[in-house]
Amino acid sequence: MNKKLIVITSIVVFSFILAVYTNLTESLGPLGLDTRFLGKLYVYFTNHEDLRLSTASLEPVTAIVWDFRGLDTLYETTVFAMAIIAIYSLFRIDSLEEKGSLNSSFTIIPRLVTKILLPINIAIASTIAFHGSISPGGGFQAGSILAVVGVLFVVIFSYYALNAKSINPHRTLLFMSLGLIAIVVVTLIPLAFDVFFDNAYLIQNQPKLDSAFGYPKRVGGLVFGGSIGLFNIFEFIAVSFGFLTAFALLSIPEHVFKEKLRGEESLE
Amino acid sequence: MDITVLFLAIMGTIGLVFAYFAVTERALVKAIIYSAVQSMAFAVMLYLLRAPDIVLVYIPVSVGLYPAALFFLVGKTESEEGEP
Repeated sequence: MNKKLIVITSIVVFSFILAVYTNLTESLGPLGLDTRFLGKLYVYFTNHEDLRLSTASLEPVTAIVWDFRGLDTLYETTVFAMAIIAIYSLFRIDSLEEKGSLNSSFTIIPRLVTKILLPINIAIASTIAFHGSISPGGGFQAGSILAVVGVLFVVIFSYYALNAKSINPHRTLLFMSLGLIAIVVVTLIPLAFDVFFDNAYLIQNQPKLDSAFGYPKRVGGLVFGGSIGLFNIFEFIAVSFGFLTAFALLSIPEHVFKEKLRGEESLE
Repeated sequence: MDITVLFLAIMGTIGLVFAYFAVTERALVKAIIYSAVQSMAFAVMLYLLRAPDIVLVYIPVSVGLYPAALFFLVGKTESEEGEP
């Protein structure tokens, strides 16, 4: 206990000295008040009035993630999908025959809170995904928020309750794959345009100086952000179902796997 | 002192203290909870540094999904760290 106290006191004193020092010397600068030149350029070109220079989005961070540095995000999505597929292949399991119900061992309070949170969470996640090109947020943020309620459902009501609602890892992986395929299609549509009509580039969002291809900036009078809006929606689907697949598999009781693996060993 | 810097310093200190608790705690469930508290402090810091996009992904991952994954793993293994 004495050792812990010494370490904590040291941390607090060190942080205090560091805070006072950085404040006195102003080495951090006025936080958030000055914008760097590169930042100004990103903000300027994110919503430029000339569509050939614009990303059609109102939110610079989402514009950087899915337009300026779009290929980076595509690779990140690939890594995420590969991780989920790896978990799926490790926990290979057939559809469970045991059917559970919504009767969990928890009291009514967590069960009721989960049921109330479910629609609220879906609404918040959808808002963040669909408004990704207008306000902070996007596909990955929305997907991870939706995944939280999936995890909560699995913890409170068990895997079998999820299975009883026809949500199993095979099906969630299918939806994740559909989201990923849609992302690939949005990426490749400009290339198809290039083959059949005019000049266009891979992962192109808005028209360029030598290319007429462009996704619509507005849908129904609202700023959609061209391909950024589509990417946000499909990433939302892929990430939420990807996380749900991983957690549904993690929550399967261990004895089920042990029996399954023992069966495989005897076959060998 | 700038109020933002003051809050950053306080949250950074709370985060560091709980990170220390999480590393030294032998009961793994407690360690995961300490880690989640540390993440909350870091989330406030990210918000103060004007990165709402990161906050939106950091909170569900670090307070919801990451502790949940660790709880599942602790449930499948041991709840107490062994002697080094």
